[in-house]
Formats: sequence, C-alpha cells, structure tokens
Amino acid sequence: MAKPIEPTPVLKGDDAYEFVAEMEKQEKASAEEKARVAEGASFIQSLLTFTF
Amino acid sequence: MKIVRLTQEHAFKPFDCGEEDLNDFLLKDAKQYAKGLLAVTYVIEDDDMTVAFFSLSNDRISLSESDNATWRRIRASFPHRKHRSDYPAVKIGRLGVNIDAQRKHIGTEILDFVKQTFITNNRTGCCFVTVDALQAAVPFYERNGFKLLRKENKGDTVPMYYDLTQLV
Repeated sequence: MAKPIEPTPVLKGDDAYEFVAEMEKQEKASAEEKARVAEGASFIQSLLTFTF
Repeated sequence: MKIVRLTQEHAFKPFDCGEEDLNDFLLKDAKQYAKGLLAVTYVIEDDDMTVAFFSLSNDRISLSESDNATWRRIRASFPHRKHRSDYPAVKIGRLGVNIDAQRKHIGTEILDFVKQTFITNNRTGCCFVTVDALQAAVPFYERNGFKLLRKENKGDTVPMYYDLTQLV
C-alpha cells in the first residue's frame, strides 16, 4: 500500500506571512508563458476520451 | 495515446515510473480512492503501456485563524486588501510518468492541462494548484512555477503550490 495523500498543512507564522506576501506581488505570467501553458494543455486535451 | 478516467473495471497496462510508492498508488490504491470519492485518477495509455497518470482532489490552502501575531503582521504590511483564511485549490495527489516516457515533457503538459482547465471551464472556484512533491521532484515543480508552501519540511514529500491567478 502506498503512503496516503497527505492533507495540505495549515500555514502559520513565517510560512503564512510569506504566502500572503507572494500573493500580494500579484505576479502575472508573460504572454509567452500563457501561450506555452495553453499549448501543453491542448495536447493533453486532445487525448481525452471523455468530457472533463 | 489516450486518457481515460480510472474506473473500477480498468485493466492496467504495465507501469513503472521508478518510484515504488507511485507505482503502488496507481496499481493498488487509486481505485479505492475513486470508490471513496477521495481522488479521481486519470490514466494516459497507449497500446502497450500506461504512459502516465495523475490524481486530482479538492483541496484548500489555509492560514491558521488562531495565529493572531501573524495576522497582525499581515494586516500591518498589506493594509489595503482583505485577506482570507483559506483559498480553494485542486490537489495533484499523485503524478507519475513511465520510465519509458520520461524526458518528453508529458509531466509538464499534464501540469499545463490542470492549470488551463481550472482557469477556463472550471465548475467551482479554484485559485491554486497544490501538490505534495517527492524531494527529487521539487526541481521539476519549481521549473513549472510551483513554490514551496513551507520553508522547512519534514517527511518524504514537500507541499508546494501554484497560483492560478497569474494566468488570468
């Protein structure tokens, strides 16, 4: 039997602060990165045998 | 090559990703997770083998509500926005690629698919992708834009996240 899928830990202290600080940066992916993600996704989408 | 949603009747084609725990999860546990509505596993296969698989479940990223000192610090640093104590997420519980199919970017394409799916035709709100990465897989997830949830990690896996809002 494999190890169970672990619950995502609740963040506290510096970890919680850093998480919020990262969100506050409101970084946006470049147009190139968005296009690359869409292209990779479309390949997997083309393999689907069902509606996701 | 095709992707099927794992069913109880599914007959697995040979699979070995080089990680015994991931192999065991797919071949021994994934159907139980599906039966218990705990995770849905998607299997990519060709005529001869299982090429890759990934398992998804609902998740959330939570900040401890009782950690008053941290909340004061957050409000002091970022006073202009309201902050939630939890955010909806989708968890990649497991992701494995057959040894014979590795280094062909299929792992990255699976991540791209999850990202794209949950920013476009999502049926529920979801702003993060989470994963418990094996130590050896941390660089792979970092290359795909994932960040560490915690500075220090004990155990075999490292919780990581990807902020989907960067794509919208």
